[in-house]
Amino acid sequence: MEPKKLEHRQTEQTQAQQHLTQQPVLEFNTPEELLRYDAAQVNPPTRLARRLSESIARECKTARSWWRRLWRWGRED
Amino acid sequence: MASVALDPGQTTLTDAAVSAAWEGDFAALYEEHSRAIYYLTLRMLGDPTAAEDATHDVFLKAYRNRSRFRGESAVRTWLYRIAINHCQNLLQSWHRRHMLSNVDEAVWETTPAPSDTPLRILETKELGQRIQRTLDALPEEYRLLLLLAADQQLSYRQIGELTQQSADAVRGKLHRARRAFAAVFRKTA
Repeated sequence: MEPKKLEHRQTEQTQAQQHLTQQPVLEFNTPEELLRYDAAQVNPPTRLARRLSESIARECKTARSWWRRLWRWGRED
Repeated sequence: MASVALDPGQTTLTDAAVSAAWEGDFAALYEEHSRAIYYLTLRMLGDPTAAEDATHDVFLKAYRNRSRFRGESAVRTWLYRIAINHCQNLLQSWHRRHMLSNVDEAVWETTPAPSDTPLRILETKELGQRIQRTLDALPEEYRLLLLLAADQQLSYRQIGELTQQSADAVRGKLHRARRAFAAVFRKTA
């Protein structure tokens, strides 16, 4: 192997080893700390807010329709 | 809370109608508490889709019953109560009681895993799965206590209210729950 290529490969290996050793070790004193860390990584799906708002809008619509029906029934009589 | 103006006979919801329903205090309430509720349901049920459905249902129930909320407890506690009941109903109906849930607490008492030894993690890539496997292996009560205790907004007294026991009982059980968690978590590496 040519000296330059060998040197390049050795440099790559060293960098890879450094990357592995530099990987941070997370340490948690209690399970609660670990769970807090985990919770911070978890987000509710963004579609959930939209889905919930649609459900609430339907609730509002249903409530309104009930009153509307009652009002109409009273007028027809 | 804003009301929604819809045309008579209208069957589909317009963006404006949805936006109107979503404006106000309830949107702020969702913004503030949805992450905590979603996380609780995710780790209680162990499935993202089920957690999404459960979170949706919890907030919808809260919306329907918002007039009954009298401010005697914190909003967060009130939402947690709805979420816990919802998850427990689901778990019961799914017959998803884990084998280890029925194991006597003495099993965990004798587990040689000191709770004061830090939990060290080298690989975060599959951390969520490790945590889920660990929680799934714990008795349901331990799982719930740890998840609630992880929320720094809750005091032991509030956790006791949510789990129907005294703050002292919560403290004692949490100690055992920590040992159990640490013992199982190390095995999942």
